[in-house]
Amino acid sequence: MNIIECCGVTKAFGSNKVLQGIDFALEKGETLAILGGSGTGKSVILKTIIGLMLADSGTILYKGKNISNLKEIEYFPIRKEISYLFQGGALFDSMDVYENLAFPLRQHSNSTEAEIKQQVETSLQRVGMDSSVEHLFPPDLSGGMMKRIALARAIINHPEVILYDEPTTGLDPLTSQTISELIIKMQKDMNITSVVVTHDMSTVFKVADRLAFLQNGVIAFIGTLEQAKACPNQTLCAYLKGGLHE
Amino acid sequence: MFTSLFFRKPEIKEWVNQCYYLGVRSVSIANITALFTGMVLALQSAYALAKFGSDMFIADLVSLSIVRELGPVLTALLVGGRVGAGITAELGSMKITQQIDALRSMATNPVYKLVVPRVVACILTLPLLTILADFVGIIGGMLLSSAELHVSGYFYLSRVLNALTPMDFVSGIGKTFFFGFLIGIISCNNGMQVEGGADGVGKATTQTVVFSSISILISDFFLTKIFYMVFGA
Repeated sequence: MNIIECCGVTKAFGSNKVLQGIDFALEKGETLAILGGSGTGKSVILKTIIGLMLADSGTILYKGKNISNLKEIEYFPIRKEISYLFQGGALFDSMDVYENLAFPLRQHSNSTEAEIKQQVETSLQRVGMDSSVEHLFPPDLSGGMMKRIALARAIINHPEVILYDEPTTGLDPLTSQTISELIIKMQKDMNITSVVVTHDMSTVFKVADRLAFLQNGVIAFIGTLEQAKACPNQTLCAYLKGGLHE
Repeated sequence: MFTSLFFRKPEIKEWVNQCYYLGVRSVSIANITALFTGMVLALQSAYALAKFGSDMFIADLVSLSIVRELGPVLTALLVGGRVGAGITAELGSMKITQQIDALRSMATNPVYKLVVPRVVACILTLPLLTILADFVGIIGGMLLSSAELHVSGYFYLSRVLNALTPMDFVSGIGKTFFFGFLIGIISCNNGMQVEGGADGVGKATTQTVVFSSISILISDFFLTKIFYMVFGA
């Protein structure tokens, strides 16, 4: 059964028609990479799935239930199951790392302080960090640390789906590789379904089970990496060749 | 916002934090303004009243002016500038760095989490700051009167107690609840609506200071008018 399904999703900002009919489906435990140039609407797809932006038309199904254009409060139960990793991490500046990670637990669980502490530590360990960073504030963190802590926050409530928005953009190759390995680890350890929006081919090759290529507001290609290599789409070929040379 | 305020369990810890940041940290700016306003008011009125041989009424004029108008309005303007700009800049920065989207993505209502505590803090702290400012302003007038005009402190304070009625306080302090609400709502709204980058934050912050100041001055007139219509002069 598909866990997420988008059918004919459109979204325009004024006269700029960013999405012109997006169709794809995602099975549980699968990792789909959405590839495309800057400004082609990759992040918009993620935001329409979780309701941070509303689609102009089309249908988005989550576990078979139509979740397009719900009221803000109706998205809350869905957002407890789908986590979003923002491009810049979006950690709360006013809170230290511990409080950032504890925030979702304080909001949605009746955990005791001892249980919260335990879960924070476990979550930090999952992303390869220890409790020494707990009292640092976001401005004290490097880009890579920020992404890992944002990932730790995204998984702390045991989501079923994680939407990754440019998880490796702006990071050095080694840190990018670490983040890609973490994405794979999350999928293996917790059977998390992932949608990874990126234009970084090395990330696509490492993490994706399938690849969707976004071009001119539609999914121009969707399939496995092997199928992508045989695809006649020249822009996609250029992306793949660029990635293969890395 | 009203749904969040009345139908959800309040986050008292966050409310207290905001009262500290918005209220306690504004004490010095409110007091300095009130002290010098009281002093200059006494100085100006001394020369004006002396022409009519009425300089004994300095304390009456200073205390009534401060308690009914200058205390509430100047405190609201000063605190509105400081606090309003701070709130808009903070929420605006959160908006452009996607922290507000992050709250939403974690199934948390940003209005409940960010707006309600700030508006409540503005409503609760502005009246308290105004009471303090009224007191300091009257003391400022007394210091000036004693030092420059040789009016005894005892005489000044007895005139103040004679001149002021409870309705003067009700009129003055009553308005500040509304001013606090205006400052909170305008600054939070502008912060949450920020678009673009640092430029957008700057514009929104300026807009907050201008809008809140104008709103305070306009609403002051109408609230005073309504008060006199309801309770009489």
